[in-house]
Amino acid sequence: MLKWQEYLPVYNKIAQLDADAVIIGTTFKEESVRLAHQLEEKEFPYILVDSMVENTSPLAYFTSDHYICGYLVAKLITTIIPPNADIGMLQAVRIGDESANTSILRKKGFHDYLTEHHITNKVERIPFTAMEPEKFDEQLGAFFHEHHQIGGVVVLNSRGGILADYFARKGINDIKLICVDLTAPNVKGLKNGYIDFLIGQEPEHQGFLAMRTLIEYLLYRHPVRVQNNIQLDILTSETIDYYKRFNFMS
Amino acid sequence: MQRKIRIKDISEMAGVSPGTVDRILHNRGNVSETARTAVGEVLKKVNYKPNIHISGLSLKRKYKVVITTPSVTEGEYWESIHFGIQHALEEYENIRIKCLVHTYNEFDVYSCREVYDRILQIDADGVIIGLTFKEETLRLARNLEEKGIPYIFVDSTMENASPLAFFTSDHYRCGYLMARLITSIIPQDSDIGISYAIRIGDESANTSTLRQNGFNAYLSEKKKTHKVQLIPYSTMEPEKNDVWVKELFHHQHNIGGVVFFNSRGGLLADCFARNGINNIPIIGVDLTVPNIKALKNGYIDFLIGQEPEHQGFLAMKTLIEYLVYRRPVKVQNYVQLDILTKEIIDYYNQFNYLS
Repeated sequence: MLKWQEYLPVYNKIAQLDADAVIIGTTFKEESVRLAHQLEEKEFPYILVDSMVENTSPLAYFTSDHYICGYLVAKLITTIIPPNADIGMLQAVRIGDESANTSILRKKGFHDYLTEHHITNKVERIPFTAMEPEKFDEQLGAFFHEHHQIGGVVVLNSRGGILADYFARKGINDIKLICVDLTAPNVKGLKNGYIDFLIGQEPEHQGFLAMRTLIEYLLYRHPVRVQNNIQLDILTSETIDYYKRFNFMS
Repeated sequence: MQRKIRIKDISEMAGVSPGTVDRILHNRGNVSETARTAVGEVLKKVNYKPNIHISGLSLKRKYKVVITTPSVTEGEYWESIHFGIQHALEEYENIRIKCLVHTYNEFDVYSCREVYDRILQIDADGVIIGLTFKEETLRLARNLEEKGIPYIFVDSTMENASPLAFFTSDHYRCGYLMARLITSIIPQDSDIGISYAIRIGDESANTSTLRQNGFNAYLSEKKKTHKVQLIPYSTMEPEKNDVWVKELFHHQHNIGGVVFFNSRGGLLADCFARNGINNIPIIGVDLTVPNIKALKNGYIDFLIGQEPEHQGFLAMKTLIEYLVYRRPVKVQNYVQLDILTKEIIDYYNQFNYLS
């Protein structure tokens, strides 16, 4: 993954290309808006995948509903832990930007669920630095040493596998864990039983639909539907073996 | 969303005539290397599936396919299987297939027997079977095997039969999952109600039995101490259910949640709604209209989907490809088990496979 400082040159380079169209997987809001506006000026169509960015006018976007994702994670964790237990929330600390767009939306959905349902579980933030993996153990160790009441942890970005791996190494199996995305470490954590629920958002399908939509638009000028929400999948160790990432290609 | 790539589209994209594309696809006649490369690139780009187009010879042949499943009710499970079958037929519209649909009453073994006897009189090229009753299906299977008629199972499979292929979810795993879900959301000291429909002439459907086995296996593996209570339920005499439900839930009871092993959980949810019972979570199977309604209303907490549309689609597609092209067939095919909740049901796409 690129650091944000590297994004500027990358996005600048893209704006110079003589492309027919662009597919953008966004992370940093301001940079994406700036690129989008440059592309709009040049009348290059662009499609967003993974998340939508406000104040842009893409040809189409293919994303899951991140707000609902967070809302769902809150529901799942609060139904499987005791009402008096605390919830840990693992949060990536990014350089130069507080949080990715998707995480912000998920966090909002998460907290809205708790408020709407008058949930009293306390939420404790677990800080971790994505750029310094050697500090994980130290940071996590300090956190769990300080907080004994944690009944479950949620990770609203795709890095939950790190925590599952930590639990496995430390033999911690009484803390429930809910994560997002079918990355290899997450799937391993799910199969090992350290992750209880994993939420999938069909990235392969998003990419497929984005490219197909673009091809059909460029070649045939097919009318395009702008807003496209991809389904959210709930995976457990029981269902993961049957899950097909390329189901749409049957 | 569904859009087929036709020869015409490929020719437009590659900048050659449709005739050239046709010659390349069927390896006929002389084609320039430039055209071949251009078409090849387009085919790769659009993920072209050559089976969609067939040679003139196969077009002339007419195939007779029998489909036998439990009776189809609007908005119910088996309708979805038939939708999937229909989609496959649309995808292969160039192939002449006559479908003969023979359904039986899944709660009555005698109806099944009668329908199967009728099917054996038909000179079919292939049969798709949605099975319920073990012995009757085995008898049908044996007879078809003797006649050399290939058959495919959907929804479930059975031992001692030799289908060309089967498309089903893993029912044992489904029951195991249901046990895990219910035990993670109810108090440790509460009882679990389980339910399945009562049938005439057979104790229980194959799928419900497998699910119950998986359910029991989870409880014993994880040393769960919940007591399990059978909740009687009748599909044939639904008026009895309200009486049973009232008797059970209006008196003192310790049932923390209910697991419904077949697709009729929505009816129990309705029954709960009518009788003001709203604190007992239900876990159900299949995205029938009543189940989805109960999921959205909050009476069903988790619903397990088993992609019936996809099963039907793959069954018919596999049969066609086997009959027309003698494609090698993979026998065992498990579809996904999907876990649905109220939050995500609106985004669930039952026809995801048609992208």
